[in-house]
Amino acid sequence: MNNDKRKEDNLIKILHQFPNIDDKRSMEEIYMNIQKEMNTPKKSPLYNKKRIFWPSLATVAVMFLSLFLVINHFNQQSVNDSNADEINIALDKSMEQNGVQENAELFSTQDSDQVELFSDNSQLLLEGKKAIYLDDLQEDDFVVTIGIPDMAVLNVIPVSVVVKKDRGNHWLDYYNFVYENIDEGKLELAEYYPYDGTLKYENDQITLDLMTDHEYDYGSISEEIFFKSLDHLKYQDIDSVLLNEGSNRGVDFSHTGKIYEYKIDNSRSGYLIYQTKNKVYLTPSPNKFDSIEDAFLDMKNKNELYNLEPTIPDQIEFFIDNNERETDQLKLVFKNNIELIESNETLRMIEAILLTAKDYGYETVLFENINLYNVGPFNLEKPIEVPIAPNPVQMDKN
Amino acid sequence: MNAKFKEIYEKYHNDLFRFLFYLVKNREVAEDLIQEVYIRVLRSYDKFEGKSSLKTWLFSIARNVSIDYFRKQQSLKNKLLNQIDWNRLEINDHHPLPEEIAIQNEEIRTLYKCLDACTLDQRTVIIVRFIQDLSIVETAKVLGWSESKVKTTQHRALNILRKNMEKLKKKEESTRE
Repeated sequence: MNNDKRKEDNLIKILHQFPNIDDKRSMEEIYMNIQKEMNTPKKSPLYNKKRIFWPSLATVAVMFLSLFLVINHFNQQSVNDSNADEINIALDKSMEQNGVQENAELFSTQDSDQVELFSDNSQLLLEGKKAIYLDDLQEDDFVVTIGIPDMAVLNVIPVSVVVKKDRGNHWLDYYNFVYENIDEGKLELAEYYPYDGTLKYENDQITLDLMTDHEYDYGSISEEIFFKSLDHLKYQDIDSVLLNEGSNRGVDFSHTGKIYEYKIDNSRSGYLIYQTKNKVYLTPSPNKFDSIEDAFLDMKNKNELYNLEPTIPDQIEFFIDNNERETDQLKLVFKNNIELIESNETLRMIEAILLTAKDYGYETVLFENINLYNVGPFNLEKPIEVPIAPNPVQMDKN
Repeated sequence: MNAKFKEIYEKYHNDLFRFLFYLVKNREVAEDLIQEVYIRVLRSYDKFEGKSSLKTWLFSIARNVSIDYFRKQQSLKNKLLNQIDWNRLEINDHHPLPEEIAIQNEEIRTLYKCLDACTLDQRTVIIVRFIQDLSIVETAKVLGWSESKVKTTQHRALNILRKNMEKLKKKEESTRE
């Protein structure tokens, strides 16, 4: 046994002797404290949902009562007019029928009217789309998607800028334009770009020449964030990036080691919500999955460590139609067990599902048996095309 | 009293408290944090699928709670200017030695101080492995890491502790001379 090993064993021996540290409070005292804390009301998205749902129940009740009163009224009228001639009776009957029918129609269309009502009102309340779709673009538009670290330097949030193609000749020109001009502070994300170096296209290969004093190897998190930012080049179907430092090939990272060619990470995940004071972003979950089912399950969970919120409410249940698996269309059959309303929450869920479907290689998504006709700009009765990229943002200089 | 709370308290409270205490090195903070651990556990107990053992699940929650605590301690400015690295974060302890440690022998007191030289991840591994006595496999589950990452971090942490112990001993010897 060498000297160092002996010293390590001795350290372990000492660590084993570290004393027990007791919590001096009683079990009852601790329980009382946590009860107090747990009973402090916290804002839940479901709370809002219930508040929106109850008026709709009240509306149904009022409609039902009206229908009941109208039928009664006509019945009463027909009794009062018992001396009237046949024509009058016929008229009464006809009116009665029409009355019932009109009210019945009103009742039966109540749901769809309400949806319309919701959509009319909520158009004003709904926030903008969280992704860019083909229909949003003109011929001379190019979508640049880059990853920006959040303020806590935990997540790298994908954001997309639409750039006019006259900004350059190669897609890298558009990227460099965005790297140089993006104002991360306005997006309530961390200042990160441009890179401490030059991103260029040479011999069919993307190369990043880093300056010798770059700080991407300052710590393992810095390295991780740097690599995650490069991963966003996957939106241009890039598999790898050559890395140089000064005039030397390869970059020596203190945690990862020397890297000559960085392979873009294409692992897939579901999308969760990252929220700042004024902004809401959909961002890939740090948990990666081979199957889209697992990704969807992950989207129901809050990720406390990364400060990410779920996009699919826990009560929502759906399954993937097996027959559609081999096609480009993802068919989700909803169990219709929960009242969905047109809200930002629902819109985010739909877009998070669409973005996830895109990452897993699907081209369209069909939301079957979902008890909502449309949400925001999406008609849920038809297959919806997956988006091009997440989180559209505006850039001042564009 | 909630039966789940009682069960967890009786089986794991001491372990969890000791883990948090050695991690944050402050009794009051450890007291607050363990309450937060219980709150998170009770709120998400229904979602506990039993894929890992209850013990490793509880430790992973305690670890997350402590990370959140350290994160909150850092001002936004520091985070951005210094590019805070949570894996490398060194936690400096400015508190006097707690009574339980102060009465121990010199080796324990010195090693307790040397824990400050470790990063948060390294310190977590040292505490979980050698103070809580969890296996490599259990530690990997608590941290959500591979076993090889646990071994590497453990090796580095022990190296740092060994070097710092030697440094401190030399320093003490030179002051005596």
